[in-house]
Amino acid sequence: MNEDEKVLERLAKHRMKAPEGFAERVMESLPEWSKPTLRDRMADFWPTHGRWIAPSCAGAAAMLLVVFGLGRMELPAEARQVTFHFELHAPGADQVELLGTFNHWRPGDIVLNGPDASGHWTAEVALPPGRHEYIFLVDGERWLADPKAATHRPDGFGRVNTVIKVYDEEEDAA
Amino acid sequence: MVMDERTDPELVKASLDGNRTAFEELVCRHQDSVFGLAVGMTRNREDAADMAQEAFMRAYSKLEQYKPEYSFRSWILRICANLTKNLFRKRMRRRAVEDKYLVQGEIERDAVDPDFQELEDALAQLPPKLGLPLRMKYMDGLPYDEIAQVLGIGVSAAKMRVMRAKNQLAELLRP
Repeated sequence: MNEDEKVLERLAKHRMKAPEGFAERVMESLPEWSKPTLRDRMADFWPTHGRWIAPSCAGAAAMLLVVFGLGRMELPAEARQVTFHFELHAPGADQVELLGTFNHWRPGDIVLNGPDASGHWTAEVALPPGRHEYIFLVDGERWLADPKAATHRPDGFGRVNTVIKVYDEEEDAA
Repeated sequence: MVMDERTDPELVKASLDGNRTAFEELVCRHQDSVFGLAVGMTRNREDAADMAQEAFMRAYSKLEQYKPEYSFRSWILRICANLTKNLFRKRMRRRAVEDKYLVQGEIERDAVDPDFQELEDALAQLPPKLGLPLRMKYMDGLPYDEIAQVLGIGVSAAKMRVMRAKNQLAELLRP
């Protein structure tokens, strides 16, 4: 083994270890997730030590709401969806997919319809109000930011995402 | 202890569904790599621990931007590298940069396994643009394309830097 190989072998054996308890510190510093699992929610809600009053009252209140308020209730803003029209001009393409924060960047999840006579591919996607990032994948190999959109953002790995903000028109008008 | 066999993208998905244990598994898997990168950049274990913790916090808050087609490891390493660079920029702007950040210093002696002290001293003499890719390649086993992604350079530049770093390190360690 020559000197260079010995150096590389020593390097491979030398691993920096994170300080003791690092993972625990990270987890303690994280904010509470706004979307708890069903199990978490059940654990928080289900009574312990025989305390049944709170869940009983909550159940009764829920029943009252269902009976008297159902027809008058509106969906909360975050539950509303806004249909957004996506479009890409790619006359020579065989397939165009849409990947974004709204579908966890899953390939094959949203495939655009097309092309039409003018070479346009389109999709209507229901999105919750808020900020979204997306990118088009043409023929499974070419990544394209939306050329018609105004705001783009590099993803840090050499591609450029398009950024949109979706507003709820009903809420804005109110 | 039972090994969690889920892939990184599966753990990210579970984290996005509100499963904190899944994110903790990601932290446990990648904490050494992230901390190692931060030590290589800051040459100070306390700053490195802060940067690594900040990187995981940032990743957690931006988790929905992670694309499963990329390696989670290179994603979190890139976040950590950018945070550390920003830290340096802020310190430079405040004109309060300590010497240890401007010149190549040594990592505190008590923080390093004595068997590797000589190696760590030599690594500390390499400029960061050479030392970091070398650490990632041989201490963490990252492939060249991931190193290139983390550092925001081309693959051939990453290979060139590792080769130059290897030669310089061998020279420094020569008796």
